[in-house]
Parts: sequence; C-alpha cells; structure tokens
Amino acid sequence: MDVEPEICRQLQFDWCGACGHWQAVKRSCCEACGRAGDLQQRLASGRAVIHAVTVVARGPTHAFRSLEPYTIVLARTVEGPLLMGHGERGAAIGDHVSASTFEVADVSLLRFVNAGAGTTTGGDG
Amino acid sequence: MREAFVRAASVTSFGRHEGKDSLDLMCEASESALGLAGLVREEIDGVLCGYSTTLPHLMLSTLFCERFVLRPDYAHGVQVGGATGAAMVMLAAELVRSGRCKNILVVAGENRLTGQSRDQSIQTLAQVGHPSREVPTGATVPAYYGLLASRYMHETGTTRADLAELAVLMRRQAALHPGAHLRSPLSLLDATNSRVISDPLHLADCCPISDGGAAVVVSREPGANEPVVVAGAGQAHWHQHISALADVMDTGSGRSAQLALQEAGVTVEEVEYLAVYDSFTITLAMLLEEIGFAPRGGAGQMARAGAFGAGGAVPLNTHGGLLSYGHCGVAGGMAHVVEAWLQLAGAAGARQVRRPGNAFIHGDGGVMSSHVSLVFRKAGR
Repeated sequence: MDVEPEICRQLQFDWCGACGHWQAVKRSCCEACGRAGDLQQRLASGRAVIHAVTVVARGPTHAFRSLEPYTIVLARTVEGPLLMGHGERGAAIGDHVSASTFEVADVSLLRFVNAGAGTTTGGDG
Repeated sequence: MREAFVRAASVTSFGRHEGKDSLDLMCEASESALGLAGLVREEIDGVLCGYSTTLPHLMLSTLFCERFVLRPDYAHGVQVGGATGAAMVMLAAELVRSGRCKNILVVAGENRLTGQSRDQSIQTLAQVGHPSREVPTGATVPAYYGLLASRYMHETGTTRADLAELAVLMRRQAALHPGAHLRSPLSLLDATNSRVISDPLHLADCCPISDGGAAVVVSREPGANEPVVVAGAGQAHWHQHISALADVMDTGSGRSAQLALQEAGVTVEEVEYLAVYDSFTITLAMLLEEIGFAPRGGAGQMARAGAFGAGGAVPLNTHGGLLSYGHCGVAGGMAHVVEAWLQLAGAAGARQVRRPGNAFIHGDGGVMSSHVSLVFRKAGR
C-alpha cells in the first residue's frame, strides 16, 4: 500500500509490547493489560472490515457541501481498533476494505475502499 | 443517614423563546421551582448548574447566582453532556444526605435554538467526537448516532419501523403537554418517510433543537408536596468516543442502572414509571434494551403494543421526551426528571398516569459515553 504521510498519521497506533494489544485512541497505558511502559508506535496494515455505516445528508461545514450525501464508516482494523473514515457509496457492514486517503478542502481524510473478497484475514463483520 | 427529597421541579415550555438568553431561561425555571417548593431565595444554600453552549462562561453557577440573587454556601457547574441533569440531582442528594446543604437548586437553561445558527449548533455539538480521528471526517452528532444505529440494527434486527414507533409514541405523549416543542400529530408513515438526516436516521428519529430551562429543588425536608425521595443513583463512564466504544450491546447504561436499582432495592420489573434519555430513537431503544426494560430489538414492538403509553404497563416520557418535548441541552435531560417528579407527586394534570410509586430516570451524554441513573420513590413506599 501507499505510505503517504496522512495514511501514516491515521494508521499510527500504539502497540503493547507486553500483551500485543493495539489501540488507536491515545491512552496513558495499555487498555488491555494496564502496563504503561511497553507502548510503542506502530503502523497498522490499513486492512479492515466495515463495522458500521451512515450516510450524512448535510455536513457540518461548507467544505463538505459538494460531497453530500457522503458515507461515513467505522472500520474494524485487523489489528483491532475501530477507525472512522469515509466509505464508498453503498458500503455495507462486513465489507473487506483497505485504507486510502482523499482531500476535502485541502485536508487529507481517510477513506476505506473495497479490498475485494478474501484479501483480509480477520474482523467482526 | 438522612433522606434527600425531590421537593419540587419545574420546566419552562420548550421551543422558541425569542430574545431570552440562557440566564433568563434558568431564572424562569428557578422562580417556578422555588414557588412549588415553598421556599424563598434565602433558604437555598446550594446551587448546581449545567453548562450552556450559547453562554460558555467559566463560572456559570456564580453568574447565575448573581442574576437570580442567591448567596449560597455551595455552588458550581457540572458537565457530562446529556447526563448532566441526572448527575446534578445525584450530587444534590449526596450533599443533602451528608448534611452539607439543606436546600439545593439544580438548574439549567439554554437558548440553543434562537441563540445561534443551526450550523454553529451542529459544529459545537460535533466536538464530542475525537478531535483528530473523528471530527475532521465531517461526521456530526447525528452521524455518530447513525453509526451506532447501523451497528445496533445489524446486531439485534431492529428495523427503521421499530425506531419510528418510538418517535410516534413521543409525539403522542407531547400532544398532551402544552409546553412541548413538537405537538403536531406524527404517524408511523410520516416518521418513516421523513427526510434522511444521517441514514439510517431520518428527521423523525432526531430530537429538535430548542430553547428552554428546567430546575429541581433537592431538600432535607419534603415540604408540602407529596414526599418523593431519591432512593438510588448510579453512574458509568466507559468511553468518550464512538471509536473507543468496545461493544454497542454494552455501553455502560446497564451498569449505571444496576447500581441505581440496587441502591433503591428495586428490580427492573418493579419500576412503575420510566424517564429515559431519547436524543435519537436509537438512543432510547438501546437504553431500554440494555437496561432490560425491553428485550433486545423489542423496544419498538413494545411501544407498538402500548406498553409505554400513559395507560401502559410502564409509562415512558409522558412529557414527550427530547424527541418531541424538545432538547435545549442540559435542561432537555432535566425535563425527564421534572416529569418523573410530577408523576410521583400526582401533579401531572392531564398526563397523570395511574399513581406510580417509583420512577427510573436515565441520562446519557456524548455517544452513549456518560451514563447516570436515578430511582425516585414516594416516601413510605
């Protein structure tokens, strides 16, 4: 996959060296085992399964007007954490996807695109 | 240990209050609650107040006391989103039981509808999302709840028609309350055909943005009204962001409710009146089902069968809830508390249900993030 800066930022997770747990939201210690000292930043694979989908009729700012209606998804990464991003029109729970980026008003945003069947190894769909 | 009584509670009408600001609405509700409590200003020795997005002041409680002419021994604000009202009542009860205060005024109000533009309101509220991982995507609060709904419907088989039943029920309840924001009849067809906001949520699944205020007096003595005690309370705070919600089937509301019910010595089956947070229809369905007032995926069906109506087995949000009485922030959640008190005190007028002896109240803040539950009981029951 492309290793562009925005993808790197979005897929930068904390990985616990003690128990192997991954977390995306910044936390002061490992949510699973409670250890603080063994967290290290690691790049996640970008592979995920769609966990939830919504289609937004009207966005919060003018930057999103041209996209409306647009699809927002929660994707369960194969590493475990949920990531929020844009999805393809028609995205459905259980779809296997991979992370990419696109720009809205010069801001680079995460978008999950269909990875085709059988390209991911886990998930909860 | 002393008892803490809900001595009085009052809510303004919700909707458009042109020209009134947050303090005006807080004062209006407070004046009314003090009158009902039979107390004068000098007798209020504690004040707890909610936040206001249209008046983001560092010291809102002090500002309010200056305006309302109170000089309490104890005052501060509380901030846990939609759970704030219930959290303040819980804290007020603790302060009264401990002997710290005798009469606490719990108050909130906001001109959320007329005090800012629709876009400002949407943007302010969206900030409960994660600042780098969620908010930049262009997700709004309806989008966060749309995501919850999509997952919860997938897991439980809940349908859009099930959710619409809850919207229809809240509108039917609101029709009996002259203060409700939305009172025009809403049919099941109207609800399912309303325009998409954040699919699967449509307009009828979302509460309106309102102006309004609410106030509750918690006291050591019951006063002249039917004595109602705070019999139990509980909280749960397990996540802030939807990306960090481990399981839509276990958000913390069950835990919060269990703590409150246990303290009160009341089971789910023994609850006689329900006041449950309903910012969206999905919020109400998830809370009723996780806490156990309806089976998974069954809240809509129970509403359809009349279980939650005024004459049903367990009347729910007889004022119309956030979905139809309206939502002005903290006071929106407090309107549930006010209605529960009115029902227990036998003072709900045309909406009075058959003499409930207890009530279960639940508030939820963020994206099912902060939960506070209360059990009120008629004294001596």
